[in-house]
Amino acid sequence: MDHFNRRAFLARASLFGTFVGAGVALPGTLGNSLGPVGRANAQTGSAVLDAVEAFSLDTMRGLCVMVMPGPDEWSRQQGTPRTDPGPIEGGGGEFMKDLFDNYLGMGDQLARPLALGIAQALSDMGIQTAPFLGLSEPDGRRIDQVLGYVYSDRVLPLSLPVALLLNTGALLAAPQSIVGPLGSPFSRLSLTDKLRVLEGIEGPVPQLVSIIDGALPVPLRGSASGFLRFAGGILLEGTAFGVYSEQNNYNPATRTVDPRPVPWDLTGYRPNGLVDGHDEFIGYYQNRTEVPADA
Amino acid sequence: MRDVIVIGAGGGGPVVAAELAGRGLDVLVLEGGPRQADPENQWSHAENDANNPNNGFLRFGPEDRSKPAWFREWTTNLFTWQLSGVGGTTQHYYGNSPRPMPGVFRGYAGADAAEYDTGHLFPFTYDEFVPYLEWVEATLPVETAAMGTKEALTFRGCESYGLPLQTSRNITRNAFRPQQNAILQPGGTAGTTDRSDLLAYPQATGCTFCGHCFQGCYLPRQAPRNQFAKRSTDNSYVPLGLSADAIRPGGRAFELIADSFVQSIRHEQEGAHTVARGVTWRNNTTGEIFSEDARVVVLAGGATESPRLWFNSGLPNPNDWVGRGHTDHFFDWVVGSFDEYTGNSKGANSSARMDFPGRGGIENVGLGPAIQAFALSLSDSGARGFYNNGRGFTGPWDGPAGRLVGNELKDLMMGGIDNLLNFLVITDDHVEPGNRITPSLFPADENGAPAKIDVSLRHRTRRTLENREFMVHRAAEIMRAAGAKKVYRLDWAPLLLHVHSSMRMGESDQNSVLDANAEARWVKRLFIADNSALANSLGGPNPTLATQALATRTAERIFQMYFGGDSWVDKEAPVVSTDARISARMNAMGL
Repeated sequence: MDHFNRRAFLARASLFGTFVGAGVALPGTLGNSLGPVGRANAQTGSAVLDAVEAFSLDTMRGLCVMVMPGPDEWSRQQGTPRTDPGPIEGGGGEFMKDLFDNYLGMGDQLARPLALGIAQALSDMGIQTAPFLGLSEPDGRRIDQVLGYVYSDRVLPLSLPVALLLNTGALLAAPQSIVGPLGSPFSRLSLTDKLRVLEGIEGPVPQLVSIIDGALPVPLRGSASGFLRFAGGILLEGTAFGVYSEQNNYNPATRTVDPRPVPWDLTGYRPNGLVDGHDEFIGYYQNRTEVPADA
Repeated sequence: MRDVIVIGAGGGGPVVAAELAGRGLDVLVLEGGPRQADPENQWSHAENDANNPNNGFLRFGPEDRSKPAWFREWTTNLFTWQLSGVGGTTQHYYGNSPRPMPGVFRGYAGADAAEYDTGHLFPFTYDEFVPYLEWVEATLPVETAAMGTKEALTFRGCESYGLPLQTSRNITRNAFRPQQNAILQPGGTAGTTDRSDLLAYPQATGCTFCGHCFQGCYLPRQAPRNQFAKRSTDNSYVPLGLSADAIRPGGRAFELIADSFVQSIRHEQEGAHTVARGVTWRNNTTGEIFSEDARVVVLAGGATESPRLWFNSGLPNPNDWVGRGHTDHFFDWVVGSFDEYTGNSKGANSSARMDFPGRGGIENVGLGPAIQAFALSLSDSGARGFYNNGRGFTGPWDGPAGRLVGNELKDLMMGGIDNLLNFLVITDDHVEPGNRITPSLFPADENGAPAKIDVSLRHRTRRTLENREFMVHRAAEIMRAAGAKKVYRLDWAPLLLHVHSSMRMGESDQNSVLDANAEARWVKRLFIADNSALANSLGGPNPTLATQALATRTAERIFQMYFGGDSWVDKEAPVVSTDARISARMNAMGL
C-alpha cells in the first residue's frame, strides 16, 4: 500500500509530469472507447461531455468484468478472458453508468467539490484534468465547469467522480497504465492491480481517499471522504447486483423479461422464465404444522 | 385536530394505528413513500425491477419512480436496505417472526443471564411481554413454516451436527426449528405447480413457493389484499386498520395518506415539558405543505428516519442519545456449494433457523442470482486471494474470508443458483453508543438534512465481536454437516437490514430516549413505535415480531394515558388479519 501514501504520491508526480510533458497524454481516451453496444446516453452535442461520458463508460466496463469476466476486450486486458458470455455485450457498462449517474438526487453542490478534489489530486501528480480526459486545450474547461454546465442540478453524475477515483488510483498503482488500449487507465490494469486500487479505497486507512479529501473544501472534507469510502465499498457489490440481474432485459411496459438475460442462463435460473410458484413444497419437518402458544 | 397522527406506515406504525382505530380513535397515518395499491399489476418478480436503488419499486424514494431516490449519507463500506412505501421494510422481509430471547428483558434470572447485553435491557419483564407477542402472532397470523429442499438440507445439517429441536415458541436452549413465519401456509395448488394459470386464488391459497419474498409478495394472484401469503403490514395491519369499523364495535377506519413526507414534528413548551402538538408534511407529487394538530403523535419512520426527523424538528436531546445505540445484528454470511439440488431460489426465502441464546442465531436464506452475487461480493475482508483489509480470517470454512471476484465468483455462480445454500449469521449485537445516526452535512433535500449513517463493522463491543465469531463458526460447521462440498465465509461489511434501538427505550434516563411506555422522556405526547424503540438487538432474533408486539403495548399505553381507555390484550381476543370481513372491505375498496 506504500504507493498510496503521501510521500510516494508526491514522488510520482514528477514521473507523470514527464509523461504529460512528453505529449503522451493518454492516447485512446477519446474516440477509441466506444464499445460494441454504443453509448450509455444520447449524444449531447458537447465534445467535452462526450469525452467525459466515454471515459466513465469505459471505466464502468472495467469494473463489470471484475465480477463477471467474459469474452471481451476488457476481460482480456484484465487477464481473465473466457469464452462464456459476459456483461459487456449485454450493456452492463451502460447499465452501471446509468445506475451511478442517477444514484444521488442532488446536484453540483456535491459534484463540483468532489470533482475539484480529484482534479487537485491529479494536478499534484502533474496531470491536468483536461489532457487526462483527452480534451483539447480549447475545450479544456475544468471538470466542475463541465458538470455545472451540462448536467441538471437534480442528480449527481456519480460515475465521473467514481471513474476519476478509480483512475487516479490506477495511475498510482500502475503508472504505465497512462497509455495503452481501451479508454481509461483503470481498464488497462490486471485484475490484481484493479484490486490494489480497491484496497486503497476501502482499506481501514483509505489512503487514496485521504489524498483526495485533503483537497476538498471545508465543510465537505471528512464527509466527502466518508462518502468516497462508501462508494469504494459499493463498487463491487453494486456491480455484482447489476450484472447478475435482468437489468436492461426488463420491459417495464409489459413487465416481462426479454430476451432471456445472460446471468439467468449462466446460473440456471428460472429455465421457464418468471413464474408465480414452484412445485417445491415437500411437507413439514416431522409433520409439525403448529407450535401451541403455551408449549 | 386528530386524536393520533402516526408518522410512517412501515413495520410498526400501522400496528399502533390499527389498534387505536379499533378503539374508535380518529387516526391519520402518513407515509413518505408510495402506496402500492395494486401490486399484482405494479410489481414483478424481476430482481432489478424490484430492488434497483434508484428506480426499483422497492426503494427509498417518492412514488414517482422517475424522480431520484432520497439520499442518505453512508460513511463507510456499508449498505442500508431501507424502503419507503406502505409496508416499509416489511415489504422486503421474509416474514420471520421469532420471539426475542428472554435474557434481554429486565428480571431474567436464567443461568445464562450474564451472557446478554445486561447494560441495555428492556425496562419490563419477558413475562409481561408474552401476551403481546401472542396477540401479534394471532393477528398476522404467524404459522410454522412449510418446508422446501433448502430447509430439508438445513435440518439435515442440524441433525448431523447434533443440535436438538426447539419445540416451543420461547427460545430456551441451543436448538433448531422450522421458522415461525408471518407467511400463510400453502393450500390448494400452492406449492405443487409452477403453472401460473393454476396459482390464482382461491384455487391456490397461501405461499405458492415462488421464491420472491424479497421482491414483495402479491401472491396468490387475485387474492384479496389481506389474503396475500406474506404478512407484511401492507397485507396485514393496513387492511386491518382500513376495516376497523367493520371488525370492532365502535371502531373507526384510519385514514392513510401516502407519498407524503413528514418534515417536522411541531411542539411547544408547557411548563417544564416540551409537548408534541402535530406534524407538518409535504406532498411529494405536488410539493404542497400540510399541517395538522393531534393529541398524540406516534413516530414510526424507522431506525434511520426517526432520528433524522427528531433532529430536523429541533426536539430536545439532553443526554445525547438520540440516534445512538444503533444495532444491526452484525451480520455475516456463509455460503455452501453443493453437488445436489438445493432449491435455493425457490420457496419462502427463509424457513429454517438455529438459535444460540446469549450468542445469536442463524437462518437459511434463498436468493435469486442478483442478490446472490451481491451477497458474495460484500465484505470487509477485501477480495479472496488478493487482499484482506487486515482481516481475511480462517476457520472451518474453505480458504480465507472475503468477497469472491473474477473467475472464482463467476465459476461459483455458474455452478448453478440452485446448487447453493446460504446461512445468514445474526449476531446478538450489544448496544454501542458510537454506532449512530446524525444529521448529514451534505446538502439538504426538500425534507431537511438527510441522515448520516455511521455504523462501523469494527466498532463493536468485545462481546459482540466474540458472538459473531462464535456464530459464524457454528454456521460453517452446520453447512458442512449439511453436505456442502465447499464453504465460503464472506465477513460481510455492514448490511443494514435488521436495524434497531437508535431511539431506544431503557431502564436508565442516562442512555435511552424512551421511557418504559415508549413515550419520549423529554417530549410528552410523543411516542415511538418502530424498530428504533427496541431496547437492544433482542439477542439476535429478527426484530419485526418484537417491534409489533411493543407497538401493540404502546397503543394500549396511549389509550390509557391520553384517552381514558382501558387495556385490551388481557381481556379480549385479537381479530385475525385474514378475516373475511376485512377481505370484503378490501374488495369493496378495490384493493
